[in-house]
Amino acid sequence: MISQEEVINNLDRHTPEQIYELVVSGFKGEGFFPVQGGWIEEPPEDAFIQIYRCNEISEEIRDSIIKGCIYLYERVFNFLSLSSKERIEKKELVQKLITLCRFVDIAKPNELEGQAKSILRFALEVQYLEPKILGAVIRAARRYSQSGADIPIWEDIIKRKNFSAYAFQALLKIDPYYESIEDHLIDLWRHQIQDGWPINVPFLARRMAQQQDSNDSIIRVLRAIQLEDNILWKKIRTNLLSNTWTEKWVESAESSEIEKQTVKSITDYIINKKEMSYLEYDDDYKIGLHKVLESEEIDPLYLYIHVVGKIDDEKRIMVHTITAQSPLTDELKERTFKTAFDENIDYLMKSIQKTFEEEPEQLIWGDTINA
Amino acid sequence: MRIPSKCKAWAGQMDAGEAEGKILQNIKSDACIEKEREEKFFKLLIESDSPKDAEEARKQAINIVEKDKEYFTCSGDEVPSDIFKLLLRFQRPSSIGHSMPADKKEELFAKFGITSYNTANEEEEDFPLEYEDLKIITDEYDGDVVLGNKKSLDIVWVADFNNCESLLSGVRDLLIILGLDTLLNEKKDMCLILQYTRSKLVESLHVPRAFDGIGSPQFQVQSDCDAYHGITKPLENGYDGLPEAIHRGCKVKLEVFDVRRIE
Repeated sequence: MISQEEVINNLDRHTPEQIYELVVSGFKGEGFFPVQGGWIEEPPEDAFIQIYRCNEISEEIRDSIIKGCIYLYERVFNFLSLSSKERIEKKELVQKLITLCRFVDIAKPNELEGQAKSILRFALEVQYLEPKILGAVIRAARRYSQSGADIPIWEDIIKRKNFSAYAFQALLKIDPYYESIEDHLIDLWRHQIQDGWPINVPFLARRMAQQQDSNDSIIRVLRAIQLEDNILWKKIRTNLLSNTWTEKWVESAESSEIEKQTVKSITDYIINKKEMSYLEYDDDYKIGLHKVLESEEIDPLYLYIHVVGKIDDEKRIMVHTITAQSPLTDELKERTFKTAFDENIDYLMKSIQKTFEEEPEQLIWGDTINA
Repeated sequence: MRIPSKCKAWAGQMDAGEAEGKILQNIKSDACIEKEREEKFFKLLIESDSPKDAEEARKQAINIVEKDKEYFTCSGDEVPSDIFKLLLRFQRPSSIGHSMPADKKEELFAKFGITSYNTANEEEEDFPLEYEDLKIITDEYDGDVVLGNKKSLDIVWVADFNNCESLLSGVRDLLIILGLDTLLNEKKDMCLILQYTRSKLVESLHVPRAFDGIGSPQFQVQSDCDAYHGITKPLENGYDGLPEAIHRGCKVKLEVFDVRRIE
């Protein structure tokens, strides 16, 4: 961006009224600042950004910029109320709106936070709004501090394919540990691979890891995808292995530690499967269950299923370990437990469910433990 | 060029400024500009008010060239086709958005969920893009890159890759030799590197002359009218500078669009 010094040195040629007019006319600042060789690529509105940022400029100048922006915002509200056809006819105003949003995006004037957020809420309600307009409005509003109250807006935007990445980053900014952040990442990955959404999910995942200072969430997400949709996982896996900065995620997701994690996931899978409604559970059961799992060693030749029983009169949690020897044991010997599981999850689940219903004595039950 | 007596006040102010003095020196040293262009430039300068300081004097000169850039710039000889086969250019990281056509930029930025702010901001710390982020972005981008700035002089300065290749391992030294102080002052300590073949360029490549460098004190004009290229003025003594050339702004498909650390 052009240096602040260069711009400020040129300011003495302009009165506050002229600055206001330049803003209202769409930040037309050609000739505002001197050219330094051929190295400055930035557009003229960058000069206004630098003026606004400078602490030494007079209040009159700063006010004239803000007043110009407020005037433009008023016109934008009227503009968005027009029909789609009428909007297309007002190309000049579209460009002014986009430039205004860019100014707000970079300069982030406190005085315009209300306008930027209001226009976003308004724009989301407009039918058939041109993507470049909505995109500019979203980018500008995203610059201001977001709070939990703004989550519904971003939950709306994350469902829109052209802007979902902005929404994900906004949610990340509100709270990197936001409870649904991993679910959103799974959804976005699915949309990217299956629906061709124009987003770079590995980049978003990386940003999440940067904010959380850990790759754990990424690994959990990848493992969840492995369990839920093996075809999707294979496509994601291929994609991740093609980049040096993402291939390590695949290694982690498929590392020797996977089995223990997988068993936890299998358990959750069973518990959450509606058709196995005879399993009763609640959060207390899960906690007890995980305590058991953490102390276990996993034998890859067997598929361990943990089933939570009922609380008895002595307030104990009945945790049963079912060790079901898979009919595919020979294959399991040849390959990793994880790979076999991925490829045969449906078959295994049906097999175990059938055994559970018809020949429960074939299953090896574990001990009851104290909660 | 000989400075007309009516422009002595202007030349005096230019001489008083550090950067302006270097630009004035280029104007004086350049005896290769067509008489017609030279006369028009000074005629317009005479019509301007007397500048009150060096800064104003420089602005007057720039404004004259800028208002008729097609006439005043890129008028030097064409660079022979057997040199400058691979062109090299460095830019600020914040220019990444401006380097892409608007529609491509929006599409790319939306993919990553980033905004202009993330690339343009160099002072505040709020979810900034790091070196690796920018590298991923440039790796992903596969479209044309927009060079030059239509709203100013619209000149693109390039170095010859062959002359720079051995220096690319130390980007800081190369930037010093090329006189790119604005990049060295970047707080991000990184820069964009752009490489493209001359054969892909639709614009012709020229030897830069004094009017091309009217805003660029880091450029040293070649007094030899038969020179095959221009020459940079390094920021520090002890260097000879490197060959430079110019072309008009255009869109071009790059061979390399990457981010480099300035170390």
